Amino acid sequence: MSDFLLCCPAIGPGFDLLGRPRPLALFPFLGRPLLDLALADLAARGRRSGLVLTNDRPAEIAAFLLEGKPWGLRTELVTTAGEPAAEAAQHLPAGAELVVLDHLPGAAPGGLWDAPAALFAALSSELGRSGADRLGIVQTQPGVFVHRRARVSPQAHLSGPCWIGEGAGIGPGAEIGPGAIIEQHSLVDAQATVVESFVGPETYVGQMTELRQSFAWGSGLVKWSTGSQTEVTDRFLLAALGTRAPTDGSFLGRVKAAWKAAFSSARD
Amino acid sequence: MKTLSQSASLTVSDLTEMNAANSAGLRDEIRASLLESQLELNLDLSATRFIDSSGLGALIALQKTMRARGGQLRLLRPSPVVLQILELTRLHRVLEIVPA
Repeated sequence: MSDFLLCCPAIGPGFDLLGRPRPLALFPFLGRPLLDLALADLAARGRRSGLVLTNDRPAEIAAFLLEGKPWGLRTELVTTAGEPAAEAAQHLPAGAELVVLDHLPGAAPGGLWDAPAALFAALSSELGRSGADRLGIVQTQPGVFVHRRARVSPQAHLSGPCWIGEGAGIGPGAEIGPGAIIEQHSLVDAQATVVESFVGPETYVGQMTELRQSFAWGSGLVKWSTGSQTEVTDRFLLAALGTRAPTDGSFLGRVKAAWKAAFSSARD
Repeated sequence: MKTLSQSASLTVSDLTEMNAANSAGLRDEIRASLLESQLELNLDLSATRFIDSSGLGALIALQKTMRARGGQLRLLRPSPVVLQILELTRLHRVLEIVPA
């Protein structure tokens, strides 16, 4: 018997670039996908089994869900033709809780996908509320949260609030924060500035570039304060790490090579 | 590309893309259109939907041209995507921008 029905978000206006690397249900909030946070919340509230509705890349959602086992749940994935929330009524089991992934657990329902500005506001709120809660994160100075396995140059300038995820690299002279979120395995190169901005996972932010009030994920650049979005085609400015110069092939190798490039160019 | 030539200024508009394929040509064409008396070069970027590092290079080259003759380059009403790239590269602090 299902005791919850969880609706994943569809990609709406303004989220073309932000929804491209992975389904919005897997959008990371300080290293944890939104779907992970929602399922953990359902499990903590005693739910046991339920349906997950999606119309966006169901194979990726299924690979993440693993039938709910990581959360001690039993889940069944249902692929819908249209927006999952619009089709929820026809799938909702009697007495089950309806959860729409349009807000963070504990926050007021709705709004998350209204506009990039709303998403950034939610990320900022999460940074203020649970920046230190993620596994491996330590607070190195007030409001500055850095993963133990992040590599931050001693010459980088960090200003709280900011959050730097696992495996991320920050080059010398880089200015991070206030209001900066650097997701896992990203690289912010030397002298770059990231203020009131989000850098998505596995993203290279080029030397001396400046991100303000923006989302940068792969080559996608979204100014959250205006909603303007564009694709950056110059890889030395902004790129998915996997698309940078060829290395030994592994992701770790690519990060190592990017780091080597960053620090050797800084010394030259 | 459209040009409006006046005694002291040249205004260029309808630049829809400034990329590796066309930026050098645009730069040379604009330089060739400049009269010696013109000390003000205005590039209307309101219709520009794409710009990359080649396009930025053309802007810098044109600014250098204008400075060499004691004049100035102004970017008129850059589109939101152009502004994003100018800000990403910090060139919004180097180039004169006249917003919409």
